[in-house]
Amino acid sequence: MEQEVVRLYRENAAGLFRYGFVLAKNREAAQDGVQEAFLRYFVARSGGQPVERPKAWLFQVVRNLLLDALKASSRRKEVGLEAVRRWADARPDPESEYRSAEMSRRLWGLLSPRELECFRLRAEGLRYGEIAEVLGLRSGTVGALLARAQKKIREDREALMRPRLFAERELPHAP
Amino acid sequence: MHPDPGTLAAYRDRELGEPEAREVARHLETCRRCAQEAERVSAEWELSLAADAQFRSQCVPPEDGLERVLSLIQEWKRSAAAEGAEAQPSNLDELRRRIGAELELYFGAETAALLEKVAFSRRPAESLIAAVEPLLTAFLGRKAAGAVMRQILEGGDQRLCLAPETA
Repeated sequence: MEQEVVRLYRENAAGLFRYGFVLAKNREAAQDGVQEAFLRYFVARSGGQPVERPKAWLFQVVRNLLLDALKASSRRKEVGLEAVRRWADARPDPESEYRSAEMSRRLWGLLSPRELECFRLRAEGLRYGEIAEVLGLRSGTVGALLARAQKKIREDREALMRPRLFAERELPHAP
Repeated sequence: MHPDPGTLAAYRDRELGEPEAREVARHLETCRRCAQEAERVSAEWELSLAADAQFRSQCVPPEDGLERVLSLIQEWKRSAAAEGAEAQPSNLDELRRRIGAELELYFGAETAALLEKVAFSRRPAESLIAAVEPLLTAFLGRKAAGAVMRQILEGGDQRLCLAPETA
């Protein structure tokens, strides 16, 4: 059973972690969620529970765990989920002060939560059926969400590139 | 019918069912505008992945992540083993089974079933015993009832330890 967990961890941990990071906007919370999901997988399998699509199962458990944690922390602070998201935006955790956070923050502002999750899950290699399972959608809507997400990203890239190209021309040459 | 962007994305990802995929393919052969749109949808996805590449390469889980998972599993196994050793003899179902067997022996199956219903409606093990003991005492006398209760709690393969259930 441990062998199965090790194999699944090697295949999916990075993608699960990125998905968790996008949901929780925090490295520690993402890592906690991922670890807990693998522990739960082990416990479920040890109890003889069959898991048909382990990959989708793990993503779904990470999602449930992190959304529960977000809800719990929003209750503790007696503010809404949206406020927690803004709070997380305003105060990125110190470890994530790298450019990945910059890029993901950009996407957080750009995409709706569902588009963001859908894009992340597809980028991590999940099939439409699996994405639908994780997010509780009909798989027919996955294509539409992805199309909207990628359109927004493309438009944003274009807007981003234009001033940068201009600025680069203004830069002095490196010695 | 011109396929919408969502359908084109699903077509690109080979996520359409067989008849629908064939329909889209046939349409793209004849409709130049949709063929261009399909190309744009594919290029857009490549661009989105490229924009995401930096995030992918920089947002990585800690190196000791797997070790941490495995140690969580070991911890869980230890506590499950410890719990199992305590929980098994305290099993309420086993207590019920034993009480049921004794009641049936003394009162017959039908009366036992009736008495069980009354007694088992009380959930915690302690109140279950509290309900059954006077019942047995009334029928068997104090001494015999005490012996039967001891038999229920201590007989069989394992001694029933009730502390965790009643807590």
